[in-house]
Amino acid sequence: MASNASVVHDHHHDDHDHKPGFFARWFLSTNHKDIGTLYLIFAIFAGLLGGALSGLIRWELYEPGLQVFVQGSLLDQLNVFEGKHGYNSVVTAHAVLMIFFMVMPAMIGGFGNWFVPIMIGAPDMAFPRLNNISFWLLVASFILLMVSIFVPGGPGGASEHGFGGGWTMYPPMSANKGSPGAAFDLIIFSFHLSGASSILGAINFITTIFNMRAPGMTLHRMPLFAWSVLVTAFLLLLSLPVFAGAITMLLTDRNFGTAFFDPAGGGDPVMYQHLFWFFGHPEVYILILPGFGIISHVVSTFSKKPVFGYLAMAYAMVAIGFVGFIVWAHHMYTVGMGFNLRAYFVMATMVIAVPTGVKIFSWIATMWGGSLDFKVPMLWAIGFIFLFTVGGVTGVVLSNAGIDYSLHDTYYVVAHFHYVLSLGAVFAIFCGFYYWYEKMFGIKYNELLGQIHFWLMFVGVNVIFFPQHFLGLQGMPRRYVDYPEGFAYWNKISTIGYVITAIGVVVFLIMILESVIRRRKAEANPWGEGATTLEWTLSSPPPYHQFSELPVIKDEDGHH
Amino acid sequence: MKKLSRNHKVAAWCLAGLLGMFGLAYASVPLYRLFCQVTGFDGTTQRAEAESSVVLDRKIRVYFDTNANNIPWSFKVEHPVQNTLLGKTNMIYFTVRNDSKVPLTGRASYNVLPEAMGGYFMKLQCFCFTDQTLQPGEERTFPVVYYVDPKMLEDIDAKNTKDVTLSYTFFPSQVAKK
Repeated sequence: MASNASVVHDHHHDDHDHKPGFFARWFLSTNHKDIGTLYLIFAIFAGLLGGALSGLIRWELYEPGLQVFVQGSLLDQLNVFEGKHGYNSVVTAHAVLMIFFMVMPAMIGGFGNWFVPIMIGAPDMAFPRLNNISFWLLVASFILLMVSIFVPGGPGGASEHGFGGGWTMYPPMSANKGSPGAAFDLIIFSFHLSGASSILGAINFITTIFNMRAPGMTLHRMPLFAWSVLVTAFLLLLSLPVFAGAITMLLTDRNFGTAFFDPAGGGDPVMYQHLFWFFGHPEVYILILPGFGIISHVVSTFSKKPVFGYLAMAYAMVAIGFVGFIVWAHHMYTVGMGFNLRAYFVMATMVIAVPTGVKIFSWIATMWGGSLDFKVPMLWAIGFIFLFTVGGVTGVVLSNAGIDYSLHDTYYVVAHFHYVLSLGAVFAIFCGFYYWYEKMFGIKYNELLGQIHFWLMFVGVNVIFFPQHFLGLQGMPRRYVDYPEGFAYWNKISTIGYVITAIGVVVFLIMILESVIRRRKAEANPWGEGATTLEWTLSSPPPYHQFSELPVIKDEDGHH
Repeated sequence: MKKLSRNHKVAAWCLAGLLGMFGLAYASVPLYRLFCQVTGFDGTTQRAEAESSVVLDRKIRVYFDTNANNIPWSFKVEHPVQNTLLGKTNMIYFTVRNDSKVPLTGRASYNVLPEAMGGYFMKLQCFCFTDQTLQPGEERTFPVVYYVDPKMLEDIDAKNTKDVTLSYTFFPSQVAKK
């Protein structure tokens, strides 16, 4: 393939940076960088939408009683998310948008497409057309999700729009009784399409990384971000088909009279939970592993040192990926598993803290004695390490089946997974966005706006989610539209945190706007000697087709 | 046939893994059922061929619970509770009557609580998982012959159990519904 690619390149050699016209370039794109940009734009759009939905949640929970999801409210007049069922729909749509249409497209589709080929010294992805299909399948999937919001779906009949069963979609909530109407069927199709998109993407990444590395780029010299995407691609490939199977069973249960999860026909709803979490747990590592890769690069760059314990870092991710497949039932301790089964899942879950600890300590060891430079990407990276550690600690607490019995489905769990995802994965995405902004778009961002964005977000998300630990410990259950007076205080604080975060997002948009208007010319390598991976050897933005002569990687080349 | 390129070879392996996992998702249905039947996981009751060889002087109370879901049948049990001994064989009668004006076909499904006891509730005779058609007003009586396996005392999850509930639910038969 490498030889094929170079033949194609010779053909184009005269007009090295020739780009096709607008429509062909952006709608029929086969260029990994353009597709990466499309994914990033898509992710920002979906993220803003999902963030707006969480605003509705926090607005409703600002004080006890019903404010937003009630007759006569603004939403009711707009005929979207009406009534109490509307709250459930919003929670569901928020989760699905953030997981499948924001974090995954940004990390894997966006940064993965942009930088995996460049980092391993390849001219493009192995299957460029497949790459294009992956992106547009995701758009189609997104449209189905949006349509489902306006279609009857609640248990109350045709007046309740959208699916309200949560992103976990447990039957009987997601069976005909809990969710009649077409909204959930649309969601199933939406997941089928986004699953196909991710699987095609995963095959593409695996093939690219296995076959298209530049001469001398052995797996053990490969940058950690490429490693993280490789592990993620394997997780996607092995877990998504199980999810596809589970939702297909739901579909046939709903529409074709099968009884996989219906006790009336001898089925078992608990089996759905097993299938779902067999996918769902690897999925949460899919969301965070590419972030691990990004953080490794940034910490190393701004410490001006190679990353501490490179091989341990790479194999820690492999270990996390592997163990991620055998801990799924810790999401369902309360279904009535036997003592020994619970003991196994507690132990296996706690084991994950070991490779994760290896990563955290290696990042700290990379900074130790380094020449630290607190530019915006580094702030996000350190913010990530701190917040992810907090989320990891509450994760170890929750891994105990005994404690989980009382904390299951409370706001403690909400706080936990937002610390590792909303604050972890999202911080990693912003970290990568600032780190590669100049490289990708060829313009510089304003350092001060970036710093203001970071500090507003850092304070904001902590004010949102830290109080939710207290709410959870006090027993406030998740996914309820209302709560008793006793939970009012910390809920109010939490909503104030949302406002701070929202201002942070506005600053983020201003930052982009400012850089687009001013158009300060980018440097090839703005970060200096610490930035050693291949993308910094190219111009900013990189040429439309890079590496017409493949780079040769030697043993002494520093790697992350 | 043209030889596959290196890239297609990797993609083919990926595809094989993909289909394998998808197949496994569906295979999980029979596998899970087999697993439940073998281990009594999740309150799956056990079918036994012969009576228990030992009867222990340890009391256990068995509650019976009857439900009819989405089907206009009266479903009753002769006694709501039986006091028995571990390993002792008992018989209990369930009565079901079709209260509607049309013949209906139903199917019973059952479960044992606490779940850990599923593997120790041994049934020698029962009427579950077969379609029963009742004419309007027809009444039918089914016996259930069971014992509680003394092996439960060796299981740390089950050994302290004093009460067991056997719950039956009649559903309209999926086949007959069409």
